Amino acid sequence: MADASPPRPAPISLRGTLLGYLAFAVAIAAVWGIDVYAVPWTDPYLTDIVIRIGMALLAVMGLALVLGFTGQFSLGHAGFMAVGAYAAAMMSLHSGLHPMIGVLVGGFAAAVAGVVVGLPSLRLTGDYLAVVTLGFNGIIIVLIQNAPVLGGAAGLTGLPVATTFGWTFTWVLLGGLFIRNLLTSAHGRVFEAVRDNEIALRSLGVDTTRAKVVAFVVGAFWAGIAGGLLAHYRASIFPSQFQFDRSIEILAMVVLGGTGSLSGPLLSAAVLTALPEVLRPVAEYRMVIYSLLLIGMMILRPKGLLGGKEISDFFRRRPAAKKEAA
Amino acid sequence: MSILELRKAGIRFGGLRAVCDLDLSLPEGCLYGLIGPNGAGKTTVFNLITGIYLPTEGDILFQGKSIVGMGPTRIAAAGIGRTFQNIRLFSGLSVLDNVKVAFHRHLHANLFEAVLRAPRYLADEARADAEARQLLDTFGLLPMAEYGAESLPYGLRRRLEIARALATKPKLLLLDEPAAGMNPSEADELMHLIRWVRETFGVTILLIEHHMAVVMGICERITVLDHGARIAEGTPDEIRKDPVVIEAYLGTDVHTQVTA
Repeated sequence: MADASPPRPAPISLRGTLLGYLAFAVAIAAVWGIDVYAVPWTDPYLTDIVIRIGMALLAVMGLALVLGFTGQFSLGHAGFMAVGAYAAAMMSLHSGLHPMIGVLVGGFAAAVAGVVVGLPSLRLTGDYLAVVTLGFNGIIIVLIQNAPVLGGAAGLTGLPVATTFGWTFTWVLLGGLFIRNLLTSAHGRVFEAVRDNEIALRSLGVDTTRAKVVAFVVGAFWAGIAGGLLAHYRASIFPSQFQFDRSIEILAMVVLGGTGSLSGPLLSAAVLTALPEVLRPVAEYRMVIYSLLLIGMMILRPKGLLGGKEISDFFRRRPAAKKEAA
Repeated sequence: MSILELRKAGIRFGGLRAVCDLDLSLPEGCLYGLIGPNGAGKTTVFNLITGIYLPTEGDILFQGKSIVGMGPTRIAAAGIGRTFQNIRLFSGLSVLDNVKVAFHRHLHANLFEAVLRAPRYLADEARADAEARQLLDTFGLLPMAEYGAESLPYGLRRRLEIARALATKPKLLLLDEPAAGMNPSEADELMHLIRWVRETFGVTILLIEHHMAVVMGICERITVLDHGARIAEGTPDEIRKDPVVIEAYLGTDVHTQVTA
């Protein structure tokens, strides 16, 4: 205690926060600028790929929070997308409100499903959650297939088309900011502490079940938003879009991008969504190339593309310190 | 008044009585030692007190109230902090964040205020940051605040774990073999640290330890366990001379072997 510690700025300053909000406003303006001035002159095929990437980003950021940061193995992320998609679709078909209100309702419906699934299973540690979420995904599909009001296996058609580039990336920015700010807050620390050592965290008087449920419900909410956008993209949805293989695809994006990273999974979501299109000229070898890529990743970067790092970490000189920003 | 009291507490795992009929009474402010040979049930006692195990018999009182069945989180929140035999840090977090996590219970802002960076959250965060840095400073860990917790050498990890436990402002601190794996000079340093912690933070300490020099050097009273039962209780001097304790540690026929 000889000398006082050097003065340091508070980790999250008011100034940084305001700058963050300003940057966010600029980004939203840029998205709508592109939507109005660039998208109409862009190849619709390219726009289609970009919008599908946007929806994948929303689904993946939720699972990155649950699996990558909180360490909870969820295998039913597409189930929450289904809940969001059908809730949004029913809102749009029967209420006459703007489809984006339906998307928001879809997000909340998925969050409620997240509470119902998460509350009993997250009280336990271990692999219970994987089994329960796997079952949840299956149950949701079977329920939809057998509910005439939801269109059964044939799906729902005649939905209003509203998922434009502008709306998709408005949601992506909102979701990205929400999850990034959550992760860099006190709650983010607790999520990572749950992943690293649950028993130690309880010995500090922190309710770990609550923390896990919060992460799980936030993840489900953004999956529901992704589902709602999907429902208003092609005017129709059907249950087979949300089956188990879709959950695995999202899981692969998170794991390949790096658990404990947010930008890594987002990057891999973009790459893995675009890859099938890029490989279209060599369509016969597509699965071979895809598999080789996955195997190569597992060998060369077993912790995922970015491991526990963020893209921004590579542009800063200070090694491995925690990110501190607004 | 005793801050912690175990009344005939015990636990069975199937047919095995890991701890049985244990009476223990810790006067407030004391430095109390719990010793015994390997497998005597010392860590099990800690797990009973902290709620990781539910006692199958007897009662455990903290500040006069029973804490049986409250669960680890609420028991910790009531004022019992602990460290672990195999150090349990949050390896993915920085040294500073390891301590800041312990302030989470005192957060006023809700989740949305945190995400939106509302003034109330910024105030919470600034306070947690200042308190954590101050605590790290008193433990000499401030220069490493931004390092990953995993990058610390062994002795400093022990220190950080104690600092983290103290961040919850416990009234009772349980230390599970803090000197494990330390050489004599490190253990000596640790002894001073533990004494200093008791004085500075005004906390009652219950200590499990194998290092006899440490236990005998700092504890005011000691309870000796063997096979889950108490075989002796007293001051270090009484314990040192107790034939039952010597027998438990060294075996029955040691005397005859030595003299023969």
